[in-house]
Amino acid sequence: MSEYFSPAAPVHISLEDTRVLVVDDNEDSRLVIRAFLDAAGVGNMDFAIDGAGCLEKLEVYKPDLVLLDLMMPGMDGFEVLRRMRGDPRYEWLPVIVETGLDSASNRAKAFAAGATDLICKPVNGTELIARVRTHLEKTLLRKELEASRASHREAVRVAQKLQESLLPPAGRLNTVAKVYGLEMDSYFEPSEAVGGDLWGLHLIDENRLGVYAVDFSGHGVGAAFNSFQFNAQLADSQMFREDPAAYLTRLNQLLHPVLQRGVFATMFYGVIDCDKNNITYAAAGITRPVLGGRNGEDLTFLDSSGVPLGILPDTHYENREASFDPGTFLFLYSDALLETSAEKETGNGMIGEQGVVGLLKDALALADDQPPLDAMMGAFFEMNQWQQLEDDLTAVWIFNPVKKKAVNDE
Amino acid sequence: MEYLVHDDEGTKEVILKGQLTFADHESFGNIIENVRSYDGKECIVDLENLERVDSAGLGMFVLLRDMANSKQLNMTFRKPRGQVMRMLEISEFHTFLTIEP
Repeated sequence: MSEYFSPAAPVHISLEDTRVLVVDDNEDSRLVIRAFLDAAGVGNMDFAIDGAGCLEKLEVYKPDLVLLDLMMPGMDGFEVLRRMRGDPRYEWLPVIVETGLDSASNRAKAFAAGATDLICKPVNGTELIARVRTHLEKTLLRKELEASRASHREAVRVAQKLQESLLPPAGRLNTVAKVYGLEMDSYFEPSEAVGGDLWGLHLIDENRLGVYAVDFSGHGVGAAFNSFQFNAQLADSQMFREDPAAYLTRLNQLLHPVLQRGVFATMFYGVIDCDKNNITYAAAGITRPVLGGRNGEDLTFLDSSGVPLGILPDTHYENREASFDPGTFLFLYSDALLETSAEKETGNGMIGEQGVVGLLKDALALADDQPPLDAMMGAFFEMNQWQQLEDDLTAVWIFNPVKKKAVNDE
Repeated sequence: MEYLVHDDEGTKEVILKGQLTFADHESFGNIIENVRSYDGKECIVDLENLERVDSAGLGMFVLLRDMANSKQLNMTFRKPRGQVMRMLEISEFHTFLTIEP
């Protein structure tokens, strides 16, 4: 008939290390079942002769499967099942009940009490072996899957930690801000899968501060590893830090041969000159940074177009200029901010650049004299309905306060 | 993303529809293999009905272009619009892809 589905196809998982607990008050039955389990290849067995004995053995023997007789003197199988299913430790433990009660309503009662499967007495050997095998294999596969998920979660957690360790800690940010007479704040929220966001600062001299933001395409541990590698390449290129275009050109040369095809990094690197109140920057196709007044006026997008790093071997970048007068802020953000669903607010799905500007303006008004990132991210997650992000979210706020200018004028 | 691929008088046409994102890696791989097995000289990638592309999607365009270059296939990306056009512009893909309005 159907060639697609063949339930009898043997998986041949070894049951050598599995443990089965047989609960039956009849000694002959226990002997027969032992013989069948031996034939099935079950490596370990233990026996209980009543319900109370079963509950005791569960704790010490820790079986992978229980074969439970429903009709026993004292605590019967139904009560044992109910107690087991009420205990989170045995919630998923497969229990095959054996019963002489083969009417439909009693079967339903056994399943309602928490039986995983049911076999009628007198026990048919072939049927018992098939059912035991099925449930033990399922248990083994579930355990394997859980272990593999746990190890994946751990790998992702380690990658997230490492990635976060590459970002400037809040304390350093405050110190640097003070040195340059700026106000700075940042926000980083890793996605479940680990994205490839990275940002940081280069202290060039007493007046000039370099700021970079990088976003690797793709997600997962691979993207995180790309950002670790990139961190080393940043260090190898430090002689170009004063010249953003040369810096990006160099980084592209380093990245191109080592990045997997189809993977690339978008980047912004700007040198803020606190003496001349300007920013010289180069960009490689990153989300457009916003420049504007702290009062929420004159918000403009910087031109961040450029071929992303790693695509072509010989891309040359250009320097662009923007004024960074006192009272002006620079806002950098990763594309997770743009590409997050906000069905209710936008009607067409994504927050987009106009949505970002809206969020920023509202936050500037709300945050008074404080950096607006907390207010902005609060509003963002409300929009997003607190869903887990699909990509890393990075936001960096750098403000050139008016006060500094007044001091300089004196 | 949904896609349609067909040959038309010596030209391979790939029509993309919907959103091309990280999740489409596998089906885009099928498109690349399909175009790879094509013996003609022209290929058009129709983007008119593509509503959105993310950075992973742009990476897939690069892979498609690499494959086309490797077998001297002329590839044209046609009619990008909206967010797709903005993504191609900001990434300056016109410097290494043939993009037609």
